[in-house]
Amino acid sequence: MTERGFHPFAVLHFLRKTILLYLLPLLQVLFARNWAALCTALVQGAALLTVLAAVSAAVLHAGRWRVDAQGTLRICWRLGVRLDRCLKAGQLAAVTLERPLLYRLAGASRVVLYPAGQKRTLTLLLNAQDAQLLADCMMPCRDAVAHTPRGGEKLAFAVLGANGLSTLALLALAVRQSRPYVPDAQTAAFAHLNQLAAWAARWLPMGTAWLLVLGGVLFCASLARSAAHAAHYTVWRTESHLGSRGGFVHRYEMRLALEHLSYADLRRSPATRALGCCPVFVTAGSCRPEIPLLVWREGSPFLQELLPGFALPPKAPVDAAGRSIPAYFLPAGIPCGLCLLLTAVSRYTLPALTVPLLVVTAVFAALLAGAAVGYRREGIWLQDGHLTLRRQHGFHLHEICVLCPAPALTALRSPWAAAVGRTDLTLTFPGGVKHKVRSVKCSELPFLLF
Amino acid sequence: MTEGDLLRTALIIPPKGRAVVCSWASVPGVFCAPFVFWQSRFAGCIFCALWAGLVFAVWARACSFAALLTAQELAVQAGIAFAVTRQLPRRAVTGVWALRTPLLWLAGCSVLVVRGPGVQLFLPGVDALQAQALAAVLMEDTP
Repeated sequence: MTERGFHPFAVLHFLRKTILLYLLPLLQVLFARNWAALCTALVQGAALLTVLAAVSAAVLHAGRWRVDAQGTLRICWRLGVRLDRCLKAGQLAAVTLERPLLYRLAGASRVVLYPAGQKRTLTLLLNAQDAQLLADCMMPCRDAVAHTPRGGEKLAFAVLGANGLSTLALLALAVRQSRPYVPDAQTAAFAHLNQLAAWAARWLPMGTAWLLVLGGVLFCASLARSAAHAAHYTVWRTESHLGSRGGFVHRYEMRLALEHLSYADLRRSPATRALGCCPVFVTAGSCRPEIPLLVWREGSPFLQELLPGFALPPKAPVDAAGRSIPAYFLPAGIPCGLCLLLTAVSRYTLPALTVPLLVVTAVFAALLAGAAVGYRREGIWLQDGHLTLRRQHGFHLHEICVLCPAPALTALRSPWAAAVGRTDLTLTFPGGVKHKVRSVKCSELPFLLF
Repeated sequence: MTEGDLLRTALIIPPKGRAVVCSWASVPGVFCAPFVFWQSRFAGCIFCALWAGLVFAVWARACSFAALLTAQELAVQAGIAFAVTRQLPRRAVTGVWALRTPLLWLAGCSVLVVRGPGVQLFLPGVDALQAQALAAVLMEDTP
């Protein structure tokens, strides 16, 4: 393959990292507050931008990449100093191609390469055709068997709809809290005490309600992004690689080397239980967050076809006798208890704040319920030569099947855990991704040497 | 020392190795102590007592250290109250670093860092011969 260049967006990618540098001259405006200082700072900023843009444009012009006959990617930067970087196709764990709307308009594509067993990734900004060519050279998808899993959009829009309704309810609450202020007799009497109490009585309920709305809207935006990802979704598999592509506005494609897969993660939540299907994520190398693979309907053989050897942890609840209660319940229990206390206090001192606080308490109560599920079901098992583990994290119950042959293990035994023969076990996957299972029985870990 | 010997015996930190590790742990305290004494004698005494406690904790941890090599794995355990076991499959070992300072050389010990993908194991102050043999055995397995 002949040498090829990078997309001009690579310059913008570099300049984005230097944005703080242009703000430095503006610091002096803080001390000398006049127009002359501002003009000087702007001129200095513009000069810095020009110099850096010129240097990065020169580096971009001199930078080249190519894939040789052995399938090795060679990236070469030449500007006074020559810097070469090589990456063999066999050492590549995953590659992702992303095309947000702006990139699509400019014909660019962001390629992220994840070398196997390394934390550092390699990001390249290339023309769309070049990116596709690079992905095809490094991870070919010849004779791919493609599937179009159904249910992804349904799940995404169901969760989005439920969240949208709850955000609307929060909005109604916030609008109600923002009505013209008419203090009741108790609040008025309380407000006479001092200025701060009057300010709190006026703004705290309204501010809390609007903050909740903001949180709901941001969560909605995140879910809408996920829903857009699920559109036109296709997953494919070859003898050596696994891949998926999709997206409505923000198009993306990912390819994974089967030999470097770390684990597959099946995530259950109340919404997925109601709909009878759950998303499956996979990761290879240092891919964080994990890459969505498909939405799996319980009992269908589709997952086994894509990931041969995939096994789920046993469904029966584990023996929780002697399991550490603080490890599970304290992280959600402390804020839940505090919020309950504040709710009870606000009932008598600031009744307008009670409902927003109840909403926050409900969120922590749901997390506490999730912790209870984890307390009864978390564990690690060795099944058919594969390690499988189940762990609760927030609202999600992760059911993980370890696909890499050699995760490193770290067992931490506190004196209390040692007394009941339990330990916290952390699995470290190639690339440094970690998963912790809390308070598991040592007798159920035959693979642990000590 | 052969692989068979390593498979039969656990590696521990010998007394001289523990002394080296403790001397390393005491260096920052010795460096900072005059400055703390400069502030007040009482603060200096408290600082020295705290640092001595820290060095004692390091010594206790070094006493509890044990590394075990099996046909498949390398495991390291340390800690008395809060015991930590770290286990790395032998085939996942990507590199071994050996460190010998003049003090370690005098003590006949060595520091070994076993690296795997995303993880590394520290074997501080183990016997130099054993460390050398372990490094050779682990590097044989490296693909």
